Amino acid sequence: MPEDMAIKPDGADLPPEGGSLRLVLPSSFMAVRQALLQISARLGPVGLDPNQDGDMQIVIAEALNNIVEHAFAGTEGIIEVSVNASPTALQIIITDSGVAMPDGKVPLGEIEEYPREPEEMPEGGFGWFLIHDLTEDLSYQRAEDRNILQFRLPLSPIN
Amino acid sequence: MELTGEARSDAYLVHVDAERIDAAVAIQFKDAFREQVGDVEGRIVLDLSSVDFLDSSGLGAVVAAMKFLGNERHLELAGLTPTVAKVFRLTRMDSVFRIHASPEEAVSPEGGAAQHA
Repeated sequence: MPEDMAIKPDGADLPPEGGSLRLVLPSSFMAVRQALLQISARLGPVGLDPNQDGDMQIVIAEALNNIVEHAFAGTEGIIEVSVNASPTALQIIITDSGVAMPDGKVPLGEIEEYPREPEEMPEGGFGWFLIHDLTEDLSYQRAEDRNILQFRLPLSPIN
Repeated sequence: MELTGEARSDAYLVHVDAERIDAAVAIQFKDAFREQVGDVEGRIVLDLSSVDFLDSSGLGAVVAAMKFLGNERHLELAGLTPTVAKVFRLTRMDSVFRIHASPEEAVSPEGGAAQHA
């Protein structure tokens, strides 16, 4: 199906006090981009400030990109994202039917100390670090052939 | 992924004409950067002022661009918007690049090569 038609939301924008939204997307990096823009738009009435919106897009981007790259590894698949918005946090659940996380747990995403020679600079491995840094209660489970990743993004004014 | 290059007095400015450098376009960015900087020598300033969002793939693509230039050419960054700046700061990659507030500041006498460490 055409990429720009592929994301299925389950309803309208959220009311200002919050609530849940859910969308389903195919496993591609461009669909991930469009999902982020959709979630950002649908959270509009909740009133995230630009910093919070940025954090939300970063953590969901990293989680979704990881699924595209590793859980489905370029094959077709479906990813579901649920966001429950309250005044103090976004509770995010992402599920997919791709392959399980290695060792059954979330990578720590540790980054080695800098500085190093330019040719030694890593070009990857930052994604899990960013998720760990910005979220709380990060958890991964595997159930009924599905991966379930959950985390909470606190909505505090200080960041 | 459009990049626009402009030779200035002591630097070559590469403006990224895209709002997002993410996993969807990381490879295109790297290819476009390599094409853009071809035979350019010296300081190259990547103007990110149009870029609202950059994820870890985008960060990796910028690091790859730096590595592509090798030891004789230097990649500096300019015009980082808040979310982009945050990704560089959280990962501490902001200590790896010289970062200017704006492309004009990067090519001004104060921002110029004379002060390059």
